[in-house]
Amino acid sequence: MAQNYIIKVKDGKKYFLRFTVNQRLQHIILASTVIILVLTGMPLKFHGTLWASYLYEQLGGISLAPIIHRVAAVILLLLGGYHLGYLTYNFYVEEIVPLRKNGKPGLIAITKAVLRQPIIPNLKDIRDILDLLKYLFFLTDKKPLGAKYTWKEKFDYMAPFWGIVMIGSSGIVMWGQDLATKILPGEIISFALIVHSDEALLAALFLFFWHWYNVHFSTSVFPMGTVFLTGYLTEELMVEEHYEYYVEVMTKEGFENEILPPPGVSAPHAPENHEEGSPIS
Amino acid sequence: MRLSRGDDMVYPDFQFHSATRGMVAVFLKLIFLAVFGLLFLAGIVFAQTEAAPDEENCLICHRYPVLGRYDENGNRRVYYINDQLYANSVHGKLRCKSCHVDLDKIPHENVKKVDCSTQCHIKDPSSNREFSHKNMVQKYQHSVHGMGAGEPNGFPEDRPTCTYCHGNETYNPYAYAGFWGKSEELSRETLARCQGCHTDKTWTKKIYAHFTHRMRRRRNQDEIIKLCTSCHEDEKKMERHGLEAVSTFKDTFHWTLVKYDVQNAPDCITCHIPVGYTTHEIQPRTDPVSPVYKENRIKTCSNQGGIQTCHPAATMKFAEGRVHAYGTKVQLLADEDVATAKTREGEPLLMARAREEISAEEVFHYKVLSWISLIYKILIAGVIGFMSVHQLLDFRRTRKKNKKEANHGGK
Repeated sequence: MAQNYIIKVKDGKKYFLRFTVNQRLQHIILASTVIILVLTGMPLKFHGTLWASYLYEQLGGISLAPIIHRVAAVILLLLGGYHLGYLTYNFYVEEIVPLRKNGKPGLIAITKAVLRQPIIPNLKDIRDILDLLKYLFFLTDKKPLGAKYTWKEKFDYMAPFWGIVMIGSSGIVMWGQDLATKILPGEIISFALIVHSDEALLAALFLFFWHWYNVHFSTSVFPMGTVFLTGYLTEELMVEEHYEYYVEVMTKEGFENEILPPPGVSAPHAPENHEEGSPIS
Repeated sequence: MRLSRGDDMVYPDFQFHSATRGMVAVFLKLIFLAVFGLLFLAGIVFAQTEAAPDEENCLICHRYPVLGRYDENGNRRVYYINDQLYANSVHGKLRCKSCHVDLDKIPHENVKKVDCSTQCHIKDPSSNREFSHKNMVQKYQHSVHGMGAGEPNGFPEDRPTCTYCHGNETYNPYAYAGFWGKSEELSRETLARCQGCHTDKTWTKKIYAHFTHRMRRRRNQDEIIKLCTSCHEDEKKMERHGLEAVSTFKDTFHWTLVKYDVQNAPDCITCHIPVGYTTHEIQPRTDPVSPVYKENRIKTCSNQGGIQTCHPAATMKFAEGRVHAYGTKVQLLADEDVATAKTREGEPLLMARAREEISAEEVFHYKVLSWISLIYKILIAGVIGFMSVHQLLDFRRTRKKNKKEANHGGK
């Protein structure tokens, strides 16, 4: 497997590691199963419309599509389980083991370690949101400088947890309705149907409006951000979206002298940067 | 509306305003006379010889397709009888007057509606006695839909008559879709086998059509649902009887299955008249003989007479979950304060029945369900709204910024 360099230099341009091969594979499985689930599920919610019956027929109709839906659902749930294991393992290796070595694996220390993780929402996210509002309403020309993961990305990342728990559990209840009603009241099936389909609609709209906008249609990445395939982000986008992290990584990797200015002030310095092989062209 | 009550056909789509009705009537009379005359001649020339014996000579007039009138309500009524279609129908051996009694005068006066419990002069092959639908009609009158036996049930005008459901389309030349009707699976090969021994072709066709109709369901799920909801979705009509309109069946997965043409997809009769019950004896769900009576529901959901097994492992808890009953009654109880303030017609009865039938637990379940729906509505609207606003602002801002940078570059 290809080694994960934090910064790759190719043809004088720098590329920054965002996702490891493992993470990219997880994302591709997640994306493809979700698309399959939406395609085989939505025609049931919107039965009676022309597009729904046509689409459903293309996907095997009522005799096949539900099987595809369930297979994809099982894969997605397994992926969810794997991801939880993956998180726990990494956290153990990177945080708990060092804590043990120092001899202080207390509850407070572990909680602090959890909160320190770059994916966990923190105070900076709130500041960034406020700064972004200022920027969007022309109160300032400075965009908030992103850390390793911006609040948008954290939102993207956290949403599937909620979605998988809600859609997954309600789906399991409907799938095993005979078993489920041995314990729970029969009404649970009606609840599950509503939760399953409404949450799915929410998730689908969220993904196609928000996530796809950010990675596909946003003016800076249109028509498609390739980071989910290559795992590496260009220096231009790195400066634009994750400046704080960019500076940190550049310093760590020994490129202190080549750090580009933050996005808001890049224009006046543009000629200088061009000479240094800046990716802006 | 599918059908008229009684023996002639009503076409409510051909309605006129009262002002034009008089003029139309004059025109029609003229046209009627002209066409009548022409067809009379044509009828003599092209008279079909294979038709059923018309001993009462009714077809002397009723063979003409234009025979009809507009009634007081502007509905077109057609009195045409296609003798060949009639001869092939299940009643083809009956003489007109067997059902249309007391029609001795021409033009007919005091025409009575056909009573299906009349004894007709045809022998029932099983008992060799005069045949009648009386048995069925009597059973039906005892059922929840019937007019009532002894003391009459309320609102007789709301109650479906025989022909409301049994629309014998054979008699309706406009609705009729070929001799085989909608039963495309009727096998000509099987029929040919019958005709090997039963040489009277008309008789064999008729008996064959009768049996095959009886052996399968005459209406598909969609048509059943349409038929039942033609009354049961009518809120006012239902309120008169202390019932709530069926409004939530179409939210269920059962309906989704119907829409996707699943074989044996559950419609109204799958659960309300399952295997072992008959349509004509349907009772309210509070009656212990009803298949949706609480104690009987496990059987209805899990195993209907050992034939249809939809939810084989259904438990009491499973069966207690109501499929589509979160209608008006629960709503009335859930927001009782609001409900008592307004006085809709028939509401007291509905309210009383709601108190009697709906448990506090069900009201709670209904509230939970409403909360879930509401939360998701808010969530979806909120998230999508927020995202759209963000996207628009972002797009606008980026364009401004790019313009600014382009200007700087130009200088």
